[in-house]
Amino acid sequence: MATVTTPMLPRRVHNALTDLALVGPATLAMLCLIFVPAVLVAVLSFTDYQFGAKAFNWIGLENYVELFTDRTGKRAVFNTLYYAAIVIPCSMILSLLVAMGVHQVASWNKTCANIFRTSFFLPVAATLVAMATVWEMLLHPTLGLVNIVLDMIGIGGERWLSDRKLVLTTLAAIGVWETVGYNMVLFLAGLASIPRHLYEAAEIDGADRGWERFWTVTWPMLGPTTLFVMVITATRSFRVFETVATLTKGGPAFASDTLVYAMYREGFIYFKAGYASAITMVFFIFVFALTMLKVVVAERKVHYR
Amino acid sequence: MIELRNIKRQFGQTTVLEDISLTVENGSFTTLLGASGSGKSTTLRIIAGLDTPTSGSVMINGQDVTQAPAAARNIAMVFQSYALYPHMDVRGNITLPLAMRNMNRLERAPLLNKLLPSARQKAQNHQEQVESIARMLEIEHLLARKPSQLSGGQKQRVAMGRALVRDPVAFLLDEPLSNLDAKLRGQMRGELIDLHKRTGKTFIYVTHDQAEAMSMSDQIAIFMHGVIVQKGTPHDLYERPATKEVAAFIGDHPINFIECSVEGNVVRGPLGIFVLDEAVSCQNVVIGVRPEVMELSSETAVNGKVERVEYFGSKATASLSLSNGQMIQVVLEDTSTLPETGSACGLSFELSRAHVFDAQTGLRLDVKVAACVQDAAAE
Amino acid sequence: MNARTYTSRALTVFFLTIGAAILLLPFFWMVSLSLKTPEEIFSPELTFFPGSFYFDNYIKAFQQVPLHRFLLNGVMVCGGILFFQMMFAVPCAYALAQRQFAGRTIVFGMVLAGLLVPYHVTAVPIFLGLAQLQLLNTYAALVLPFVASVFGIFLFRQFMATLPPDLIDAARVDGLSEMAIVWRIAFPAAWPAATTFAIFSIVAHWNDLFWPMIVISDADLATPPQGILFFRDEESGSDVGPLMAAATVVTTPLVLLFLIAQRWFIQGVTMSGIKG
Ligand SMILES: Nc1ncnc2c1ncn2[C@@H]1O[C@H](COP(=O)(O)OP(=O)(O)OP(=O)(O)O)[C@@H](O)[C@H]1O
Ligand SMILES: [Mg+2]
Repeated sequence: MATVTTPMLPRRVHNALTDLALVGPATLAMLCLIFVPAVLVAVLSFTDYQFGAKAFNWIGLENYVELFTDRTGKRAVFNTLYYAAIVIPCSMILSLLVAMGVHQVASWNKTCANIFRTSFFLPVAATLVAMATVWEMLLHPTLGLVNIVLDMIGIGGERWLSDRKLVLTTLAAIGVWETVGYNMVLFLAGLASIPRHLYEAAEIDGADRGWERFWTVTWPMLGPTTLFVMVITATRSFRVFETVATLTKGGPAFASDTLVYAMYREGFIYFKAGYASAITMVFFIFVFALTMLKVVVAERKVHYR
Repeated sequence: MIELRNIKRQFGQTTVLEDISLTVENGSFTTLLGASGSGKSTTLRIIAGLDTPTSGSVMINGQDVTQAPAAARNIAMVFQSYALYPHMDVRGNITLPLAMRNMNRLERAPLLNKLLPSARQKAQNHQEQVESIARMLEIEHLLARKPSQLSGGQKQRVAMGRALVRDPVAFLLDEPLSNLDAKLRGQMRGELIDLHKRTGKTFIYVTHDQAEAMSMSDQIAIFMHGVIVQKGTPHDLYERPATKEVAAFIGDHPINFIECSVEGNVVRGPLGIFVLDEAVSCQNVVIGVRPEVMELSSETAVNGKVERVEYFGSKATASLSLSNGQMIQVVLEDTSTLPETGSACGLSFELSRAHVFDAQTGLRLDVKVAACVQDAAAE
Repeated sequence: MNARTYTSRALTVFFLTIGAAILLLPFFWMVSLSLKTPEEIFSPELTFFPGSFYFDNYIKAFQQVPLHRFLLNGVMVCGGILFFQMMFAVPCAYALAQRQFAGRTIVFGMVLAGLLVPYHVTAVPIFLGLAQLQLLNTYAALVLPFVASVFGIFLFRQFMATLPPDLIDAARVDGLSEMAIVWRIAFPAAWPAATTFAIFSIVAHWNDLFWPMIVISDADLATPPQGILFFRDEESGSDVGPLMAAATVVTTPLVLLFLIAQRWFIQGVTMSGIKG
């Protein structure tokens, strides 16, 4: 009969060591890479620290004051909000329409619906920087396809990426292009979870036109999904960086400067760690507030009527 | 030999096991029997090393293993849910415990094991063992399937195979048959008995089905509310139940309890006046009479009315109501002439096989019913 | 089928097709330009399809910049990040899902809190730390900051919490240590979560530009998106064909991955909603 190996350590000690081995590395990594840095950012934002400097001064809220009074600082905040204000509604409305269309097609032809879904989702998987260079070609003032086509129709083309008034809207349009597929997938999941019998009930109640069914069943049932999509789209648009860095570098004349790009520029080109930290904090507070909004609204269960 | 010594287990404030002591001889078939929530699984998990007792100790072959983790105990276990590894095929499921026991870290390493000669040799051996086990359990044709492609009975066999394939100190089986349909359960019960005979291993079996326990075990421990109320052979439990509850729990037919008053050794109750072989000190006793030792008799005075007769082919049961309204069940071995519903009948029973319990404590009184001096109707 | 449903279906397909065409236009244009000769590209005449397949652009793309180097860097960085993320996340998730230990709620609370912190937030201090350690311009700088994936821990924990406790106990009885259970039982049983997470991680880090731009200035270590930028800045817009060829080359792996593993991608999006 096989013998039993006796352990050297009491069970409790052994278990504790096992737990430490399992959880310890990840916990340590989380502390070192997320929580300590997050606290450090908050601390740095009250200093005038520069990368490489030997010392720094505590300057209180000066970085924040600068961000909200200085022209470029104000611009970055305003531009980010402006960008989000375009991307959020446009992307949401378009993706909801697309999702409803694909959902409808799926009810009679799965293959066709899958092809559409794949097509709309493709921009999400693609490398944004590469695609941005393509957009640059498409939007080229003289050689770009967009302007050539507009010319043919008889509308004068624009300098999409170098016109100060237009540049942010152009970037937002690319942002919409990039996020529609993502949101569509989320909406599709929401639509798939609406029970069929609700539509049948609505039909019996006389809401048999597509439009009526949308307002009586689809829209109220999509409430939680919509909120969810909104928060995600908002967080993603606050983070806009790739297109700015590739296409405009915040220009012309800071017309397309955004928070994350400003943070990059101030922090890692001009090495103003303190100021960059303050920008980071403002960005973080935006994102955090949004998430809290979602939590609060979800807690109150406003949706589902 | 596996020994539990004064095991106590608490979850927070609630005590789930209290003073559990049990000795399991090598090669025996021991059953832990009890109602749901009585602590059987917890006991089994403590034996396996999956749970640690709050106090008390677990000994395996004279060695204290209370602090040893499951992996160090070399015990095999079959779970009620079978717990097959969903991502491995049947072969993989059965091989894994072998590989874990017999191979070192290097030999188990994913790619290296193809190169090391020792690993290849062992793997070869393992495959032979797996195949012989599969042959024994008649699951050879399933070796390449995933658990999700198996029926309940097949999963059961694979789970058995996974336990059988190595050479463990003991097999622990936690209600292994409860997810099977009645017919398959009967068949597997037979196979388990054979398996026990053939392997000669220690089996510790958990069930809430007394018939299963009675038919398979060398030793049964009856759990109630976290304590063992009685342990012994099936025969002991049937013939000498330690408490009223045990008497009620054991047996195919629910035992009849007849409340009686006592004076010295004279017992009075609805079935008449009886004399015990010794005087008892308590005021009331309960006489337990199994339906299968009762008879309808024409010799005693009429004391019951037949309310219902159920016919099963090989036997029948009759339910009678006594004058005080109590219902009594009787098993009729002779099914050629069944009593009419509504007819009046006399009742008698084998006096020596009646059990006497203290009405207050429910404990068995070590006395026998010696004689019936007067039956009820004559009163 | 009555006329009304028929028209509504036709209209839906019509509009979806137009939408899809607009969405896919950049992809088409990218491939088309990458196959055009310079004359075709710069001719004022509008041509959708290249006159012939002009593969020189691809050859030039690989010659003018070390494109293969960028791709290799991308693979190394994504692979490294994914490997370490799993090494850290899987055991932790297993313990959170299947073991009771002091501090479990605290650790899980950290995971949930961590989900709220975008990685841009930690950029400045982590950059400082890497500079202190003299790790700027190394693979380590690209990989290290991402090894603690709270999203990974969360995803694996959610999945592993659905594994029946009996399964884990069976493995313990079969002689597996807790680490062996993690990698031999819990991880393979949580394979769908692993696939979803792998795709999520690869897409995020292959396409990321922010972090490489911060810690890498050496072209030899550039990731694919950064490589594209180097290329474009170097050529100052005159060499459109090769640039588009490079863009195609960089985009193709993920597009292929997406077409093969579409199901997991979509699941990844639905689940990563929590991460945003
Ligand atoms: N981890 C735990 N925490 C708290 N209470 C527990 C725990 N495990 C078991 N219990 C309690 O211990 C008691 C005995 O449980 P156990 O699983 O041993 O019963 P059982 O006899 O196996 O019942 P069943 O036949 O239903 O399987 C139950 O009341 C149960 O609620
Ligand atoms: Mg149980």
